[in-house]
Amino acid sequence: MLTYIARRVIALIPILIGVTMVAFLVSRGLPGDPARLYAGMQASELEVQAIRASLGLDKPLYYQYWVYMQGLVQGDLGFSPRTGFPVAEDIRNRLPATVEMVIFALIFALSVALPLGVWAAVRRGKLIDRFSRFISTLGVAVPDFWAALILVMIFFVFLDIAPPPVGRLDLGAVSPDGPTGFYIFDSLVRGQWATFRNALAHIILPMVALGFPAIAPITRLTRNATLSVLQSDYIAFGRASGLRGAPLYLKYVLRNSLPGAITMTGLISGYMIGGAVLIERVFSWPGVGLYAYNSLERTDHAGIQGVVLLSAITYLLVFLVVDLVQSIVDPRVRLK
Amino acid sequence: MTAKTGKRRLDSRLVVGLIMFGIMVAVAILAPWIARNDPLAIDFGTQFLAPSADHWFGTGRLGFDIFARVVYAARYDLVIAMSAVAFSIVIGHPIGLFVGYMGGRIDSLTMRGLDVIQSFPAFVLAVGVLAALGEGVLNLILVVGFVGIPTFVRLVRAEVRSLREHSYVEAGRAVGNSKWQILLRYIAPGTVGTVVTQAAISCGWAILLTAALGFIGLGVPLPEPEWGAMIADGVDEMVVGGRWWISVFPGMAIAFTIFSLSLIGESIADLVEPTRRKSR
Repeated sequence: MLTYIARRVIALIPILIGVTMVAFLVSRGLPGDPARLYAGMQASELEVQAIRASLGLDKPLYYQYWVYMQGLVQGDLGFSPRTGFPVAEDIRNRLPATVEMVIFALIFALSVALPLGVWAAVRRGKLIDRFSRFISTLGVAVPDFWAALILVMIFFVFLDIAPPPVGRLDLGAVSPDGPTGFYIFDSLVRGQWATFRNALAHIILPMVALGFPAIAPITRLTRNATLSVLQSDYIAFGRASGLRGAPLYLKYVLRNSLPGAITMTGLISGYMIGGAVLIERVFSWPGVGLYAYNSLERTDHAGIQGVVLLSAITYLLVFLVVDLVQSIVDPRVRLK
Repeated sequence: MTAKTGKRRLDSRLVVGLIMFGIMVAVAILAPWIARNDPLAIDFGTQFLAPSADHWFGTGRLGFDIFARVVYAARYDLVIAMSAVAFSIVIGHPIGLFVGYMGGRIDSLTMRGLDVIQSFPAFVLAVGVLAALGEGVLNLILVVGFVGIPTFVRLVRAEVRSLREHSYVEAGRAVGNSKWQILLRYIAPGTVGTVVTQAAISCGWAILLTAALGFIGLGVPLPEPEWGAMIADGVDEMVVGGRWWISVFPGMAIAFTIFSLSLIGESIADLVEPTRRKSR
């Protein structure tokens, strides 16, 4: 197991270097002069040149990359002139909001998709199977940011049972001062029930909007995996031995269709990191996605680059974790 | 096989999908005849009108006729998506053929390169590159196409690697065909099916990506109509003013188009790969 982990981590290193190179090149390709941005519009050409030299922008590209990497390994993602803070700090402050939303969206998607997929496979070709396939195709077709708006329209504008899309809590509400930055967890730990209810009410629509597109692929995968398990010999044996109903499906069928679902979940959570930019915009959710959006709006390159790099690294780490979990669920994976 | 036996009836999903997509293409081509109003006409006298007989989908903040804009936007979204997919294929297909056939160092090097590109969530990478290149329809096509290249390279490469081992390829080699003749005459045609299937799916995906980029303001520059940007236009209006129509209709157009493309993609996949059907 340890060798397997080590092998996977070592294989990740060249990819990580490649990722930083891409992020670096993209940041250097951005229009506008970073030195000018720092100096401000009133600065003279001489001042700008001084700043350019102090930022190392007059050095050759490979040297700049070296400096960039030196900063990066120390967690330095640059400085945002827009917020007046280092990008790494900006992102760290906003990360819990995004992670909390993604976790809820994943839980939502899985708790709908796994049972639906198994059920559709068991009742193959029947109404529920057709229904789940229709939902799957629809889920792919509907843009998640639009679905988010439709949810707001129905539940806030028309029915008025959802809170307004103003972020993680009502306007003016005090955020819980918990250890994690996850409002729902923190308020629960501190026993702040009003805040807990408020945070929960605010996360429901973003959760559904972000989780909805994920339901389709997970359902489909679970269904197909379950189908192939159902046709296997050991299930036939289980049936012959008198197993039926829930024990058979939960213990034997679901467990054996899990590996595929785990991979898919990893893929999906990676996708959600990107999707969060759009969903957070709709719900004014103060996470990394909204930070990226605001950086984009104000052409704050450091902010954009920070998010681009961070999301790639997160993506890679998620895949690493998925592979490791996979190798626990299915030890044969390690042999490859 | 369908033509030979004539017994298998046409897949209804394919028919429905083609009709739906055909309607959308027709809307794009016939836009000036379908929409009576000018999609770019700014008229403050007709601000924020709810849908009515004069303005089927209502009007927006600048008095734009939403119906006309949804119709004309089909031109932008379809052309951008289809050009982007064409770009992905033109670059990705030959690379996939080549590295899949050659194998060895060039193959593994290419794969590592793809790993790097695919380490970025597609949308985030598109945002980063597009922010670097600057707005504009051509850049949009290039970026959406670029992000789609790895899919085609991987797909074609996998196909080539399996075809390479077939006995008919062996036979082709035995009768004295050169390396390149084998690749182009014997192997390449076998990869067309998967590429066509993927093209339909990728096209829907490209429309989504284009709309998402438009939604955050990185799309077709205003005042030209584009579905994603139109949805963004209505966000605040819906939340504050309850004016739902500004965002709802462009989103329906996106869903309609992508739904048709995924119907087409799925049914072609079953046709090309008959074993898939058995699991249905």
